[in-house]
This record gives sequence, structure tokens and C-alpha cells, in this order.
Amino acid sequence: MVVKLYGLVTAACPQRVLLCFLEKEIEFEIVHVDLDTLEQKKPEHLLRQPFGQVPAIEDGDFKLFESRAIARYYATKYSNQGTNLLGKSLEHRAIVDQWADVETHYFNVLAFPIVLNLVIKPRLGEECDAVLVEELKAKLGVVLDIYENRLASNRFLAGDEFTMADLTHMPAMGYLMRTDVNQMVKARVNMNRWWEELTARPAWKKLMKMAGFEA
Amino acid sequence: MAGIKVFGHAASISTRRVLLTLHEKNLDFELVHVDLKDGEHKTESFLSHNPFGKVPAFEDGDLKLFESRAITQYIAPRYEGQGTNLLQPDSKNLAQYAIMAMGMQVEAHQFDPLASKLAWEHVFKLIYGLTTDQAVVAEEEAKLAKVLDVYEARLKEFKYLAGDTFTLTDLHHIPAVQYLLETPTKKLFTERPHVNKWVAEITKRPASQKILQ
Repeated sequence: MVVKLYGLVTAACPQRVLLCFLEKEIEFEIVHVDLDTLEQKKPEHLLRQPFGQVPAIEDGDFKLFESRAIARYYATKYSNQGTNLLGKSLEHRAIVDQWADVETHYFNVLAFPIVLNLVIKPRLGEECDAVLVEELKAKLGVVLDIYENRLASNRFLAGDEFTMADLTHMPAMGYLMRTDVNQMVKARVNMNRWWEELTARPAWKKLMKMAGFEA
Repeated sequence: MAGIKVFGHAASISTRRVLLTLHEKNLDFELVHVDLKDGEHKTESFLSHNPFGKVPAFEDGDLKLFESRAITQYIAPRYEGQGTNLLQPDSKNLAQYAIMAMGMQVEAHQFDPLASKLAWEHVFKLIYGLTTDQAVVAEEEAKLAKVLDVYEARLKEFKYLAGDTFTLTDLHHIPAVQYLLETPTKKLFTERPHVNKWVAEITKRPASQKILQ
């Protein structure tokens, strides 16, 4: 019995879970939820995710939503296979958690509305709020300087190894790098080095292929 | 042993999340006051504790952390044997843990952004001599009402958010809930019987009373 992921391979939050599956070598099945027709707001999906968002998972009788909780669950359940995403001690895990929480509270709050305006709205034929985007980019610059400083003395966000703290950034980073925000990353030596290492990972390459972004 | 230190402000929602956890676990600690009004959280000295310039920051011996929810999630298992159990009854049951984790994500992503904004408008703005923007309040309350409808359905089935016992998931909500109870937004809780009961339970806990002093 294989875990079912309700969502789609091109959406950022489902990608967070898919990346975890790929890093941990966990088999899965994607059940497509059509965001363009607002399938996620319909009664059938609301039973899986009451806030009307993707992803949700079903693993036999076990059901869960919130991509970061799902990723954490699988990273813990399969701690003995694939990449170790959660550190080697309670203290190390706390540092991983710290930088994973930074993704939620400092990075995603800026990255998400930028991607919404620069990528999603044009696709839906809606107008982009250019003034807002410039404001958000200015704030993002301040945050990226902190990351730059962290990555100057650490290979990855939580230390010497790739962990959930890095993985959780990748979906939104992937989208940001397809916009002119990529210049902000390329202008920062350590962030650039970190992103190149992350995107060289086989799991990421596999995900991008599944999403139809790379040959 | 160097002991536990919290760098923060006794009135800050995020700092209180950590203080609550320490009180629930009966842990001794030192609260090192950071003067937010004077911008102390943006000074070089504080930035060495949290490069993002926000409270709280935390030390336990050699371990240094920031992000309140990472801190609480360290304290709960690290001191599992003492005080209130803030994890699920069977702390080794992974599925149960995941349900608690899911609830913590919901608090961080769905509840806190709205609750914090409302606390800012109703309470903290006044402290800084600014005025409440009623249009923002109306907008955020409408969104929070929808979120609390989901909570109402959940709390019909379970006594607490992650099951039948009080866990970190419930605790993470307490500081913002306490502030909102002192504002007109309180009605969103009292209008929903199961949410209202849950609010009463979690705010009457001795640790919850302690952080108000």
C-alpha cells in the first residue's frame, strides 16, 4: 500500500512533501487536485483538508495535512532510509527546527506573495501588484543578507549536512529563481553556492523532471 | 550547569509561548529582559542571539536557539520526565506525534497571522500611541471566524486540538488567545461553544495564569 498525495506536482507545498519522499526513497502516488477549477475548495477535498488547500496525504487509514508536518512525519518514520533530514541528536534537531521555522516566518511570508504576483497571477490573467512586489523584495533583501551570513560559515542552514531546514526552502526558491528575484540570490556568493548545491541533488532533479521543468 | 535563559519580553506573544512551556515543566530559568520599545532587539548584542532581531532567544547550557516553536519543541522532549507532559500520551507513537505537529502547523500558518494582527491592532498599537484600524480589524476577524469554524468542528470531536490531552498544540495558542479575550474579538470565541470551552480550559491552567503576572 502506497501513500497517496492529494495535490499536484507543480504546486509549492505538495513539492515540499514530494521532495521528502524522493530524498527518503519512499514510494508514492499523486492524486491530482485541479487548482485551476478550485477543486481544493470543493466538499470532497475539504474532508481531507478543512482549510481548502493542498497537499493532504492518505497512508492506509492514516490521514494528515500541512506539508511541513507531513514531511516531518515521513522523515521521522523512515529515519533509517534515504537522506537523514532531522539531525543526529535532539540538540541538532532543534537547530534544524529553528531554521525550518525561519522558512515559515521570515522567508515564506515574503516569497509566497512575490511568487503569487510574479508567477501565478499572470498565468490566471490577473494584474500583478508591482508596488507590493518592490516592497516585498526590499524586505526579502534584508532576510537574504541574514541567510548569506549564516551560509558563509555553514555549508547548509543547520550545519555541515543537508537537512529539512534546507529542503523546506526549495519549492518557493525554485519559483523565485524563475523571476528577476534570481538576481538577488546570484548577487550573494554563499546563497548562490548553497542553491547550486541544493539543485544538484538527484531528488530535486527528479522533482523538476516530474513537474516538466527540465528535460 | 549554565542553566536556562530566555532573552525576551514578558508581554510578547512569542516570548510567552516559551515561558508557558517552562512553567508547565516546572523548570527554573532566567528571563533576560529585552527592551523592545527602545529597539534593544535590533542592537548588535541582541542580533548575536537572533540574527532576525526578534524575541525570544533561548539558551540551555551550550545550546542556543531562536524561533519560539522550535524552542518549545526542544523543551518538551528534553525535559519529558518532569512537569506537565506536553507531548502526546504515548510520546513514541509517531502517528499521534504527526497529528500534534499538524495542529502546530495550523496554529503557525492559519491562526497566528490573523490573531497576531488583531492583537497588534487592538492592544499593541495603543501602547505605541497609534490608533486601531477598524477596517483591518473587520477584515481579519472575518478570516479568523472561518478558521475558528474549523476549530469548532475539531473540538466537537476531541477535548483538545491533538486529542484528549493538553499538548504543545494547544499551548502555542494561549498567549494570543489571552490578548484577544481582552478585546471585542473575544466574541469569535464565545459564539462557538466548543472553542469557548477549550479557551476557558487552556487559560485557567496555573502556568497560563503565571505568565499574566
